[in-house]
Amino acid sequence: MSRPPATPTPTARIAFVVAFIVVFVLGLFVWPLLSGQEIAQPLEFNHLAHAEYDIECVDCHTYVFTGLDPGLPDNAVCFDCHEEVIGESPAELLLIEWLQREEEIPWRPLYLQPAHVFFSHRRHATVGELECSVCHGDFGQMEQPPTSAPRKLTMDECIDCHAETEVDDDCTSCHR
Amino acid sequence: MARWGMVIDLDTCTGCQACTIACSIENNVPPPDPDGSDDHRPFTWMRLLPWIGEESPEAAGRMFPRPCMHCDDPPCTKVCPVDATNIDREGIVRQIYPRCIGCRYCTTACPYTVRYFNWKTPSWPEPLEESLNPDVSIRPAGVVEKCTFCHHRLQRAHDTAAAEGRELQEGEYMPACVEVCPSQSMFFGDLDDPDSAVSRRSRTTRAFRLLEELGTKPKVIYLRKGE
Repeated sequence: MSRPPATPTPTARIAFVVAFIVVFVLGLFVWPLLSGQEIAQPLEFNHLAHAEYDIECVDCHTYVFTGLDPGLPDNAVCFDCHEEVIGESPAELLLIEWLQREEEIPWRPLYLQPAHVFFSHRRHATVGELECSVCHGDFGQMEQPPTSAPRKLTMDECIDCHAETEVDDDCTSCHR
Repeated sequence: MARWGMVIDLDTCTGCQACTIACSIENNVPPPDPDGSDDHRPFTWMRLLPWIGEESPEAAGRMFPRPCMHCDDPPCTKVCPVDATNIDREGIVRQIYPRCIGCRYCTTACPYTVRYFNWKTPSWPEPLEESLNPDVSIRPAGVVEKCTFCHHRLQRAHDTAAAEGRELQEGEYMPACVEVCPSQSMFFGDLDDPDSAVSRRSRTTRAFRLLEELGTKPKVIYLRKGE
């Protein structure tokens, strides 16, 4: 003789619903906070302080007009100006320590392309004559290094901009 | 707009396979591994086919380099259900890997069998994995890939010309196989330019195309043995 199917008790039902809500809320709100891509830089780089001296983006991100990837500055770029202490900021003292240790500063990129995307900075900055801020926001006004990309760049935005400006949006230009 | 084509002189080709190696290195095509070889699944975009030209007693064994023909009327693009392969304005038949669903209709439709399916995730023996070409993506398992006439080189050449505000010059863009050919048996250029090296050679009596009768209009032209 087969047993009748077990009927959950009211307590079990309530426990299930409560557990479901807890897991749902954790997944929806708490997990993204914990796993958030908070990117901490090794130094508190102040973009504004540099922009005030009329230092252009390309002076540090050397390949912005010539390469796919604009690049993050290596020590030699910082050393050009900061061979000795020239300001009053504590971050600069740390920088000088890095430079004296002759160890490359591990700057962390905020924008990383997926492996199947080849976005050419040269094509946009040199040929298209776009300002950096069009895609990256106003980095020149930032005193603290942002912990995440100020603007999320998606393919929809690429396509929209190409449609507005009537520029070719051939698939293999970026996916090859 | 140029219409890119290739001419391969079978009379001077020595069958050294430099083109095959150059192609694989340039385009991140993994070398064959023993497991895949058992299944007949390794591939190279530029393959040398053995070919016996004449009958005995003058039989001559030759090697026959076979890249994608980049047909003007390609059968492969017509069967793709997701538009992952198409022919661009400059006549290059390309594959958009992130869009490919791996149905393999195109590999079946291609009469030259120059389309290859990735049965597994590609891998390279050490230290080759550290010397991959950053200009070309690594195709994942489940997508079809093929010779692209190294179109990343064309894009780079176009970008350089545009950045310098001038037109693309002849010889600025060349696939890796043509560049490396030690016997200079391969030529590359604009077939629509009547004065280009490929255009002049394609009009000689030695010129022929593979499976011409199918009407695919290949843009890879072979030159048979000279008189």
